[in-house]
Amino acid sequence: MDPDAGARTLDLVLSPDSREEVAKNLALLDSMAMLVKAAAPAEGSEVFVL
Amino acid sequence: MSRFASAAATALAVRSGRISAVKVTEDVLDHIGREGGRINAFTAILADDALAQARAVDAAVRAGQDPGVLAGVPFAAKNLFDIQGLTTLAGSIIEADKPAADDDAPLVARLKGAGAVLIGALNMDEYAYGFTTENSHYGPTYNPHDVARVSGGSSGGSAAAVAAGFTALSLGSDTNGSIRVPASFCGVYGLKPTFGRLTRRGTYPFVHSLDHVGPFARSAADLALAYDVCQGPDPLEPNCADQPFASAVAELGKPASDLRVGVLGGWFERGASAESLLAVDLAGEALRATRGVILKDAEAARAAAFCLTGFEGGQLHLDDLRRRPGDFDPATRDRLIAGAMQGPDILAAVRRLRAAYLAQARALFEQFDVLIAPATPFSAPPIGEPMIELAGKPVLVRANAGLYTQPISFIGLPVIAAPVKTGARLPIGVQLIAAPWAEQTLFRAASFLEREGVIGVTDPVSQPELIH
Repeated sequence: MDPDAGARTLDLVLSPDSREEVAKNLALLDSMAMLVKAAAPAEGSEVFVL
Repeated sequence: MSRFASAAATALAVRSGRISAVKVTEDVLDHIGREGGRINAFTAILADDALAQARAVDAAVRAGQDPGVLAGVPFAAKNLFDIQGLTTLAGSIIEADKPAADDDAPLVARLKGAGAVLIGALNMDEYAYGFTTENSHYGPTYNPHDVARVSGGSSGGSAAAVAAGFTALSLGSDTNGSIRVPASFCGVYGLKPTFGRLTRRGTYPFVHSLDHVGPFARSAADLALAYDVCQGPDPLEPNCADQPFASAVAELGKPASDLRVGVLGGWFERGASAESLLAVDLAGEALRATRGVILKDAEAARAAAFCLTGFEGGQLHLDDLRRRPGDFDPATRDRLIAGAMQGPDILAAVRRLRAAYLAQARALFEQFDVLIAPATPFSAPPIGEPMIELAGKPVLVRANAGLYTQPISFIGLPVIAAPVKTGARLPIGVQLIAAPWAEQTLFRAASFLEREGVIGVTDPVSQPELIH
């Protein structure tokens, strides 16, 4: 995701330093999300009950 | 009493009148006054209130009344727990502008109700988002075993206060490993109970779907004492399950020979340091564990916890991220912003994975009573070092300290993090993991390992004064 587009959507202002760090964190989250989507069942329960 | 006296021994001495709670409290305050700055575990010391509580305990003893099972035992709470008359900081300066709490959080109140004496509030990572307690507003909490190293986080003050002998007990919270990581780095015991077991009311939230609270102690027996006092329903907290009281103290000393124990392999040994693997080996050997047990999808579960944390944490702080971005620690702020930018579509995948992964874990617990995994992939890293070498490769400390804790808290399993006697200079812990609501089994296993000399606290050696 483009951090500037994300910031506009959330009405946030990013400093240049912040923009770079947010971009790195977004890249990490994207890679994590790919792992989740690959492992999660395509359908099934979303209910978490212990 | 020794500064490392157990909670059980202190309570026994106070209840029998051999020592007054006031004397115990004065000694603790004196100790913190002399050495507290070296560790920076506390963000507030409540000397007057603590002495008033201690006087009330002594008055009860003199009057022949029951002063409580924790009579005169010093404890402290992570500064995301409400403490009456104190502003709940949650490690931030943004919250410092808010009014003081009207009441104690129920867990603080329950410990005080059992006669324990609240000494103060403890340092933490800002908004509990971190594994090192290098807090840019209140300073780092230094590891009592080596003040050049981090205490772990986010409940770093809670672990360090207990390790340093400032208090016998403390309270912390754990969303992704924030009790278990600092327990490992500081060489103390920490309990992350089943999700929903202990009431979170009166604590500053981080990730509603993952937040847990629990105690730290220097022995399995003290951990059990504190946990038993903390147990109980809370009709005012929807997340707190209405579970019957299940005494941990009653499990201490019971045999462990019938426990079916497995050591988690796969994800839980990949990337671990030699000392981390040694800790697991020692605990596994003592419990005659089956090796190489696989909890499938642990890596994806960790990734899901990562995404969920960013999303819920980011949404929680969105208003302040808009209004006061400069008042956040930059490292916290930029992760929260990125987390908030994730599309909500990830949540459905996270939830489906969580349900399926829990079912896999339940199936494993048909075969095993206790699973063992490292608490951390390495021992405490140096303060100010973002990277650490692992298996010959540099890795980020903040991103990797919770490698083995996140897949477990993602599905709310109960865990005792216990310090293993590896013989190394720095402490390191293991996770003893059980099925949901089976905390009693964990206390049986921990008590056995302690009797066998496999786990236990090593008092920190004297450290040269640190010049801040």
